[in-house]
Amino acid sequence: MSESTPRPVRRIGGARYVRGEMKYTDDAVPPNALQLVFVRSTQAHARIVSIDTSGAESVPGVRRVLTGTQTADLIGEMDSAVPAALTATPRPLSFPCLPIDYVRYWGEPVALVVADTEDVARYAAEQVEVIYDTLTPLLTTAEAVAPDARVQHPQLESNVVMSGAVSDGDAEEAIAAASHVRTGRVHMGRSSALPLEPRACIADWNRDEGRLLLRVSSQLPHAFRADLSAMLGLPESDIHVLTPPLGGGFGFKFPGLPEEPLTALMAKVLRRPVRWAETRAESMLVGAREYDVDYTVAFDNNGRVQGLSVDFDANVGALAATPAALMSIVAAHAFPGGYDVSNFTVRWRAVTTNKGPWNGARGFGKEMSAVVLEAVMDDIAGELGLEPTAVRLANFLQSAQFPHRTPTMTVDSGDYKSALELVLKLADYDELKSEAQSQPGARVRKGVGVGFELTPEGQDPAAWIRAHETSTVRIDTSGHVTVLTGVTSPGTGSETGIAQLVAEQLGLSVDRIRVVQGDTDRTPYGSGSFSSRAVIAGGTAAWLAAGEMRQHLIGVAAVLLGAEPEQIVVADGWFSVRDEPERTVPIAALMKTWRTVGNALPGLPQDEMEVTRTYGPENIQALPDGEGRVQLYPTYAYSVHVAGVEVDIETGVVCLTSLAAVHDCGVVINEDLVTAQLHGAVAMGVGNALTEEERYDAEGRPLASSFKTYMFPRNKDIPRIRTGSLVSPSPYTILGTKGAGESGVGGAAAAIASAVKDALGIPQAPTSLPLTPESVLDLVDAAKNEAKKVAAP
Amino acid sequence: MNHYRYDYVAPETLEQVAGAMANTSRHTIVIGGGTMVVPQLTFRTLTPDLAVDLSGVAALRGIEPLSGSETGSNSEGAGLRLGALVTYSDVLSLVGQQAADLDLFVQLASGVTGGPQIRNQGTLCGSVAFANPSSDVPTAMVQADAVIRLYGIAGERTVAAADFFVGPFQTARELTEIVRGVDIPSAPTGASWGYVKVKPAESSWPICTAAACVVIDESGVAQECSVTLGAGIGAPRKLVLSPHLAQRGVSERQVAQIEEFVADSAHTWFDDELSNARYRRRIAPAVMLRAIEKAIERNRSVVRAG
Repeated sequence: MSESTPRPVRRIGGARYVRGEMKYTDDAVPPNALQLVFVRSTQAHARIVSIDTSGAESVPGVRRVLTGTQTADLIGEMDSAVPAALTATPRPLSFPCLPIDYVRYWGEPVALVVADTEDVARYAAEQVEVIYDTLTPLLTTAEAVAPDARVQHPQLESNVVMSGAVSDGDAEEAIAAASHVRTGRVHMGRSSALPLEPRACIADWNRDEGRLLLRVSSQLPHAFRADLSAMLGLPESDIHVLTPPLGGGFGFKFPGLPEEPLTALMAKVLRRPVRWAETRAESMLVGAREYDVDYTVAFDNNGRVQGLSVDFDANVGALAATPAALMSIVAAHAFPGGYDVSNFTVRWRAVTTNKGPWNGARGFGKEMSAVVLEAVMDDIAGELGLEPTAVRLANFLQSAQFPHRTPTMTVDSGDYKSALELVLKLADYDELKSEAQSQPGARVRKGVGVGFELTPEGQDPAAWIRAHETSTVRIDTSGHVTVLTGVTSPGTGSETGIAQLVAEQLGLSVDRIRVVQGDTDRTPYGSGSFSSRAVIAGGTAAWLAAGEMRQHLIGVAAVLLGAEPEQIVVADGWFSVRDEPERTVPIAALMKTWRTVGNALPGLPQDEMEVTRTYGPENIQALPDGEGRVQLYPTYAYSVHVAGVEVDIETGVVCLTSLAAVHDCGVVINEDLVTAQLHGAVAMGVGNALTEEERYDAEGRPLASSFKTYMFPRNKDIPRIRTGSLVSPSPYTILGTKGAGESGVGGAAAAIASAVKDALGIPQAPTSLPLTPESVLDLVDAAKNEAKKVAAP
Repeated sequence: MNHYRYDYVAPETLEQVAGAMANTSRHTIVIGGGTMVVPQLTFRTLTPDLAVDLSGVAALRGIEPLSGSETGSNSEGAGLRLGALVTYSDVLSLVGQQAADLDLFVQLASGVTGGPQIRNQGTLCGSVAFANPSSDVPTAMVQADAVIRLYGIAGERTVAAADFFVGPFQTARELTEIVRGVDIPSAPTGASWGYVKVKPAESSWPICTAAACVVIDESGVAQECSVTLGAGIGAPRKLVLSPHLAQRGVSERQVAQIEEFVADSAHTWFDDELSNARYRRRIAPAVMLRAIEKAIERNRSVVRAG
């Protein structure tokens, strides 16, 4: 792979996406499909006294109405993707698809209606009468852990779903002995990934085959099929799951919520196609982040961290079977990031409340760790009057230290110092800094901030742990290649990277390669898209398979051309004898001859032109070693960010004036796609830092229902992102690749938070995201009070 | 059977519109540009019996000059008459022509962030009729002393903008009437406008808005100064300030008047999904001041230069 970086290949199918020609799940609804609509709870926390479905059932065109009690007879419970060991329960937590007697969040499905048209289904759903006995909603973790709080799940003893500690050395002793100690707080508001394409599922019963066929907007087709098999009591082979192109995933489309399995159930029961599509407001019921963090950091006069103690609670909302609650443990395991901290303790709890359930989101908890660690660095800089970048440099892991072992990570490779230097240059950091220091106007303050993020990537959804993926490379008589792989693309374009790897091995152009993903009948078993690992695992498996295929083809060419295999060179679809360009055969003729002549020609290899290989990166360790250490992520991408802001101190509005990011995800297969991922991650970080939040009223009713009330940054909110990259190959993957796609959410958010505090001259203020104008004015007030204190000694 | 079915009519004359609107027993909605009601129909949050689409009524198109007798409210007499179907883009297309009287609306329209689709489709009168306290147009109408023209089965009547907006999504329009258009009186010589809105992100509705006007005579002396607060309170309210400006801009007396106005307990500052009353009240004086400053700045750069 020496000459392999970076190859500018345009994204396969890119033009079709841009022209609006891609067919997403809900773009292909069979004309005879029935429509499924859910009756959703209008209480955040309540006992169900009664459900009267008679009004709905009498609406003409209604095919079936089901409540939780009725549904429980037809479909099994959903088992949580969180391992039982983590919840300290005899078996994984499980959930009925529809609640029987108790609702746990506003918008929870309590009944379903299937009807001939969507309008009839919606109207009928409005006729279902549910009587609730309202309970006090538990919206904060403090409310949920109060002694008298109602425990939300029968398998749990309290609303602390899981908890733990990660530690190294002795943080308490280091803090007690240190010359400087600071405490601080970080709050990350409830946000979510919210892909532009919401969830959708179209289920059909194939009468000819006696099988269930599902088209579903899911990131994990095989895992989804396994769940369905258990819940519906069907063999997996009787379920065919297809995932059409996704309009975004980000973790939002992991299985574990009840809507898709219930759609499948209704197709099985009614023997008709059934369609369910999530509305935008429904999608905003699902969250992905909400953390409260307290920390204490001890440091020396040079700003070197001596000890760090962190306590955090994750408000994971109502429990669901998704893997999302694992984001809290992943956040804990990502400490102390890219910093060399010998003494630290992170105590964490995941607490269930009466907000909506979580599903995954890009960053998967690691973005929170980055925001906290960067707040720590700014605290130190503020206390000692040091340049914030100097504090980072003083604490970074040095390149010579890699691989660096912590209780939960073996950080593989990197050059953090060079990355920081590069981003400071790209950002014109010194210029931004001097602008910030010569505050001109009374109304607008300028600030600049830095954020570093270590992003462990490449974990497997089975993790706890299995990081392998399988790909099959198949060549046809026309000399075209089909790659069947268990990894999928949630819209990221991993198929293009995989096609490039295969094309390179076979000496073919990328347009001869077709990559098949997201089809449980055609592809090998696989983990779909999860943890930025499609290319690391599935792509490398395809590359290995193609490498073996190349040897087969060379063997055939050698016989056809009367040469030794070592003499054969491959380029642009031609197999030729080295230095004798007239002795050559194109791939199509080679394949046709091989298929028609078979082994009649002496020496032709017997192998079928189909190779399947399985690959998983090294550097993964599920079971604790002698010192209790584990290692859940094989690769460690990182990024470092600079943000420039203008804070309007009269209105609290933050204007982002500049952004720069340098990232390193090891060897890059397609730079355009990787850069696009970085831009997306930064944009998500901007939203997390400034505007994105799923808010609730006091009764637990969600206030976000559209993109006017859940505010993504738009193009004009984000300045041009100046981007640079370094390449530190992973020593633990064959191609040197690391995961790409997640790094940047936390780093960008941290840089923006840092810049706002810099602008106000209060680097040590608590960090509370998003920095809404209201909360920025609170910071302005805090800064004024600070100034008064200084003025009046 | 479609339970969300409604009848749809697309009249071609005002008389046909009035006829369609006359039956008060039916829940009737009016589609101007449709940028608010069509999404609501799609989401089924609006379930009318009848939708009256104005887009085919030729009489509702266009921007025309007014004769003095038609406004009566202004010494200069003339002004502009905007039909119900005038879009933000129509207003923007007048830049450089009749823009002087519409400068406030030009400033407003150029800040409409829904992109060209919204500017081409959305109508000013639709925004007037919808009376969303967070939208731009009502504030500007009140500041400009616009006259809202209503039309129904009983014919036409007019209501001053200040009286038209009653509260959030509440207006003086009867259910049988449409907003036929608005008359915007000409501003006096030396007038200039400033429009300012605060919002935390492009996708947000404005959280607080203000529109201001200053009139500065040829000797450079300010003759009039007024500012209208919108978005923070349920219906826009105009404050007429003492005209005297300070050397640097807004005078201390004017600042005090604004603070007094904001402190007035008659305002209903409102909370919604995007922000809260406390915040809106806090930033209102700054937003109003900035609108005046912008009007002054505009006076120097546009009126004097022109």
